[in-house]
Parts: sequence; structure tokens; C-alpha cells
Amino acid sequence: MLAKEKILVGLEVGTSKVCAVVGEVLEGGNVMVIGVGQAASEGVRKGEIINLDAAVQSIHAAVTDAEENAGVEIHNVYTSVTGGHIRSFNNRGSVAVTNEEREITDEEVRSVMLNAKSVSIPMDHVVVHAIRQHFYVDGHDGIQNPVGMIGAKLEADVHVMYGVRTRLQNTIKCIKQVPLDVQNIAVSSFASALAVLTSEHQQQGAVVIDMGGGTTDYLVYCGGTVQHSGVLAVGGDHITNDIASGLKIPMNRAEQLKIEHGSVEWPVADELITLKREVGLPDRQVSREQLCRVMTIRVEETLTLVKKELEKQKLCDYIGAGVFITGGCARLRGLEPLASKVFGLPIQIGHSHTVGGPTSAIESPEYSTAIGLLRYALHTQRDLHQAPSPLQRMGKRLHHLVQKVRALFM
Amino acid sequence: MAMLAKKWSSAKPSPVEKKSEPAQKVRLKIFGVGGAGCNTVNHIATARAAGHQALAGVELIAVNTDLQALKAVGAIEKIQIGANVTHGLGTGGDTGLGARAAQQDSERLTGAMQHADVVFIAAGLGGGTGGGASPVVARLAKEQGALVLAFVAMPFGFEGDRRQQQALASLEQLKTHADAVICIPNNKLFKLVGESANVVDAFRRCDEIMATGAQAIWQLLSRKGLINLDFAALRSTLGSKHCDGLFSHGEGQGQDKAREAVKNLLENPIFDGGDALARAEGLLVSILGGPDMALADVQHVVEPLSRAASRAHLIMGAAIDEGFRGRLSVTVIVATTVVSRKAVPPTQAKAVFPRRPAEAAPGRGNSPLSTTHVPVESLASASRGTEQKKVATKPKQEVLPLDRVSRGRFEKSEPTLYDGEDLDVPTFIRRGVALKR
Repeated sequence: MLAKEKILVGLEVGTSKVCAVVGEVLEGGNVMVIGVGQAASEGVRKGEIINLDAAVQSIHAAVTDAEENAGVEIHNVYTSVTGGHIRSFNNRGSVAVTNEEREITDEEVRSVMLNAKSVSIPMDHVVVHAIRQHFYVDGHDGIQNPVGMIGAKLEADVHVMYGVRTRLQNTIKCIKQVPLDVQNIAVSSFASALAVLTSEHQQQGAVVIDMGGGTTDYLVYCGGTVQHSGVLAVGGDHITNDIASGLKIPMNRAEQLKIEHGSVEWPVADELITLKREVGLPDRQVSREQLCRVMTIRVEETLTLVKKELEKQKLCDYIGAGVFITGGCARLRGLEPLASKVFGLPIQIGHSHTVGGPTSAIESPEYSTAIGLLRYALHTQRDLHQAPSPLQRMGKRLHHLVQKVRALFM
Repeated sequence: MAMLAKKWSSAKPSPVEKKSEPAQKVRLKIFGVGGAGCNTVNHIATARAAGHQALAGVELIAVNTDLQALKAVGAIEKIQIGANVTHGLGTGGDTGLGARAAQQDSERLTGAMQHADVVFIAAGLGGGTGGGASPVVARLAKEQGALVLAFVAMPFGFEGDRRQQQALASLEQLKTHADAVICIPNNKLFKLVGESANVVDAFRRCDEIMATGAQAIWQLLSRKGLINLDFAALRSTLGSKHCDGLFSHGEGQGQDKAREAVKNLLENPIFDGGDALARAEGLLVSILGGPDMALADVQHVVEPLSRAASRAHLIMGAAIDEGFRGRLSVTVIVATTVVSRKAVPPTQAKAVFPRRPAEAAPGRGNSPLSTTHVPVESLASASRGTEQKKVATKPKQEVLPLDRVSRGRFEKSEPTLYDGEDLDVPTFIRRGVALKR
């Protein structure tokens, strides 16, 4: 019975955690989250895989967790990609309308999109998305759907996001080793935006900043279309590293300190935090003021860099809905006032309100990329079923078995 | 000090009445202290004797303990200090001796300083006289009410660690008294003169650079300004930041003079290939051109600099000089954040230096160069007083950030570069934020 319903899975291989969100396609074309699985991520730095085996293990754990929670078997996933190598720009394509009636058909639209996509990027790079912005018919601006219109020349503006082919392939290769099939990939910022922004927000103009463990991905919607996007390979890991370096404590302690006592409010009242140590060693005390200072300086810098990028693109005046911050770092205490100070815009901590499901999943900013992947999946492959081939099933069972045996000996 | 600055700027000639006698309005005296300092003033004197118009009307004074070295200096005013202490010999690298010598002859030094609005001290740190006497000279000049600007060379790497340490200690002392200190890290001269250059050449080159620096700053302060720049601006750039001053100079000619000048400027090894600019806190740009200087020239100069030093507080000035027709000379003074190798070490109260020498009075009578630091009770001296904190114990080679800061967890990953900055390095280190412990 379950097999008839369409199941979609979004898998995010992040720097600090791997998370898999299982969604069910409802009638009317909405998605409902029915299960979430997550596991601590190993072997990923700044959004990119540096240790394949460790990453495979993490993905496996997360997917298994999601399978248990959702009560379905997972075979196909949509995954997100990120990393400092991902870049973007806007491009315009154009075609002549050659048929006799000069009527624009789907054919012309397809070919103009193709033309816009065929841009000169470096040899080793590959286009991940070419998101349509506007069409122009005979130079007439701002047309959203030109099909059926009469014209001699059709042009299209697209936002092209591209990255280094081999680095994108590593994530996919990892997932295939689990083994799972990758249906499609999406850039993290785009997926997060899909999860967080409603179409009204997109119309009003909004910035989505996904501050994850290893990267900060941002994307700007203006007038209902994607205008700009980018990746800054700076994330929560950097905050932790700064703390570790500034307070002279190990990374895991710094992480714990960040979560339990950290804040990006400045100034804060100074108090001493006692760090318990192993038996036999004296406890250490660190100043909360110093902790928060280190964190604030870093987060402020990261947000300022994003703002700078927006300023470069002259987009600041077009953002009516405000800045939506999501990703694990959105949980930082005091982020809202700090971001508001930096951007001078209304700030919202991003919740994935565009899909249904349990609040625990939807209200968690760290799941927004994976949830957004469900929406992305719905958009791109409306009729795809989660029907695994028998071979896949066998492969997966076998792998499960291997994992279990391995667990016995390790 | 603010009052002094006002006094100075009011003394600044108005564009109308001033033609070619800047010295009548602002009296600049250059004190070359110690061996390197004497060489520098000698260099200027020789250039002037050869008919060079630069620095005309500036008084040069050579100050040294070593009578032999002093004799070698050309026809300028000479002051031999510490005749009773060193008996006409050098100090042998003892800064304490250098300080005592200057102390002993403080009256003669004060006499030479009289009526000076700006006292410029050129010295090589690391040695006994340069390192020991120049802080005393700075203090005396300050007490005379002059604005004090020190232009100092740090020792070469081959001169040894001890000399380096001594130089840093002297630098600290000097910063206490002088309004602004500009450093030339001699080690970077290697790139300028080439590895094969002999020691004599390298030292001469250093003298040349110091002389150019003195000249450029003099120009900056004395010429008729299109866009005025005064000592207050200079001091606010260099004066009270947790920074080191760097200096570079470039000239260009002909059609593309502006671009050429900036290119020459940026190629200066002192800039570490733009690294220093990226770390810049303050940037002072002074442009000197002929009456034919176009606004576009100014733009061509300032634009690339402000782009390279995006975080810096940029102050600029432009001046006209008849003799610069068809030429353009650009001088840049950069105040860079000190990147320390460690996470900024703890700073103690005694490491905070006062801005006003009067507040450092306890040390006046006895030798100000004893190894202990001047105790400070006042933090109210400067609004940015807290930023004045310097590392008290075991100073590292702060002016020469040759090796990189640890990147911790990201040690082996590809660096995240943004406008020349490595974002993997903790932000507080890049910003030079001192963490107290």
C-alpha cells in the first residue's frame, strides 16, 4: 500500500551532521515530512568530503535512522551540494522565433533556456542550476511565461550556479557507495531557500543565509526570481576553531562551550565558566565575556561579508521581506539582533513553513536544506516513483548485512 | 596634544600667502641619532649639497656618542653626547649607556630643539645610541612642545636575535614618547636590494629609504594642499592603534604617471605583496604632483589603494609643486594590525603606555631605559588607550610576520581566501583583538 504513495527523500551531507528527511507527496502537490534521520558527520570539511569511507558510514547511519523513523525503505535520494568552489552569475540567452505565426511555443522556450545555459565556464566546471528569471519578447521586459505570445525574438535571463565537476562528484560517489541512487542534486542555498521562503517572500525580495557547520550559503530572491547566490566556506566550525584557539581549549570542549554558554551578544556580563576536566586535573575557568567576544567577532565578520556581496550586486534595496537565517548556526543565541545590526533589515530565523510535518522537524533550522530538497524534488521530477529495482534491493540488503557484520567486529 | 595639533595647523600657511618658503611657517628639525641616523641625515645633507631642492630649509642635526662616526658626517650641526660616559667612543650596543649619554647632554639637545614645530627622529634601532638615545631625544622634544615623529629602521635578520629584542624594547620606549613611529623592517630590504648585495649597499639603501621617507613626510606637511593633510591626520593614522607603521613611496612620469606611481609603490617589498595593505587599519595617502595634475590622476592613485586596503580608514591629501610638472609622487603610510603568532598574549597593566609624557613623569629623572616598563596609572590619557596595549613580556618580531598563524582545524584544508584574507585564521587574530585572560 505504501509503495503506491510517492516518497521523496532529501539527504544533506553536511560538515557537522548528515541528515535525511523523508517526505510523502500529498494530493494537491504538497509534501509532508514523515520522518527524519540524522547522524554526526565524519570526513567532511567546509561542506566537502575529505574522507570517503567515514562519510559513507555517516550517510548510512543517517539513512538507517530515517528509514526507522519513517517506516519506509529508502533507495533514491535528492542531495545537496555545497563548497567554496560553487559560483554563480546571471546570463542571458536568445533565440529567433522562426515559425510562421511567430508564436512562441514550448520548443522556443526550451531552446532559449538551452542557449542561456550554454555559457563559457572553465573546462573542469559544470552547471548545477540554470534558474530562469525573466523572459523578454522582442525586448519587452518582465514576461514570466512567454508561451503563446507573438514575437520575433525571445530572450531569457537565467541565474547559473556552477561548481567544480570532480568535487561535486565526490558527494554523489559517496552516496552511491551506501548504496543509494542520487536522483538529482541541488545547491544547498537554493534548497534552503525553497524550504524557508514562501512565494510571497520571493516576490517581496528576501535573502536566505544558511549558516551551516562548514559553509555559509546565501541566495537572494528579488521579484520572485533568484538574483544572486554564493557560498562562503566559513561556518560553525570556524566559530569553534576560533574559540579553541582563543581560549586554548580542545575542539570538542570549544564546541560544547559554544553550544552551552556561547552567544553572539556583545557586550555580555562577565562570568566565569568552569570547565570540568578528567579526574586528577584541576578544573579550568574561562571567561564568558571572552568566549562571546570571539564568537561575535567571527559571526559579525561572516554576516558582513555576505552583506558586502549583496552590496556589490546592488541588491540591498530590493529586499522587502528581510533576511532569513537558517542552518545550525541560526541557533546561536543573540544572532537576531546582531544580524539586524549588520543588515539593517528585518531578520527571521528560518523555519521550513513551506512543507507540512511534525514541528520538531519543521521548526529546526538545521533541517531546512534537506526539507528544501523535497520541494526541489517535487518541482523537478513530479512523476518519479520510489520504485527500486530488485537488484538495488538486493544490493542494499547485502550492504546492511555487511554493515552489521562489521559492527560485530568493531 | 590636541592643542598642539591645533597650534600647528593654524601655523600652516594659507594657500595664498605660501609660495616657496614653507620652513618659515613650520620649522622641522631632523635629528639623526646613532650611526644609522647620522648616515641618514648625512645622506640628506649630501643630496642637498648636490643641488637637490628637497628638504630645503630643514635643519639637520647629527647626534652620536661616537666622535669618529660624527666626524665622518658632512657640514651640518653635530652634537656629541655622553662624552663623559663613553669618552668619545660608541656605546657597544648598550642601550642603557646610550640613554645615559643622551640624558647627560640633555641641555644641549634641548637647545638644538628650540623653536622646532616638528621634530623628526631618524634612528636605527638595535644599537646602543640609536636605540637608547632616541627615546630620550623624543621625550625632550615632546617636552619642548614639538610634535615628534620617529622614523626608525629595525635591524637586519643577520644582526641576531638579541639585537632584534633590544630593538623591539627600544621601539616600545619610543612609542611612549613619539607621536608617531614609522618602522622600516630592514629584513624586507633584502627583496629590494637583492640577495647578492653587500652589506654596505644594503645599509646605504636603508639610509636612502629613510631619507626619502623624511622628505616625503616633509612634503606632505609643508606643500600647498589641494586636499589638505596635516599632522593631526598623520597622528590619527599612526598614533594610537595596536599597529605598526609602514611606509612606501612611488613615483611616476609621463602619460600614465598615476598608474606607474601606484605600481612602483605596491611593488615595494614592505607591502608583502599586498598582505600588509589587507591588514591595514589606517592608510594615509599623500600625492604630490605638478600643476597639471588631474583629478583622474588622484583617482587612479587612490582607487587601487582603497580597494586593496578595504578595511582601512583612508586619509588622503594632494599637493601641488611647480617642480613636479609631468611627474607624480605618491607616499603611503600604512598602519597595520600586528598579527602575533600566538593568540594575542595576555596584556598586563604595566604594558599600557601612556600617551602623554607628562604622565610618565616618574621615569624622567632616572634612566627611562631601565628594563622595567614605566608604570601607568592613567587610562584616561587617550580614548583609545586600551588599544595601546602591547605585549610586555618577550616581545616577538611583531613587525615581521614572516611565518603564518596557525589555522587549527583547517590546517590541511584549502584556505578560504576573501580579498586576500585567509578566513580560516581566527577573526580576532586577524583583527588584532587582544583577549585578556
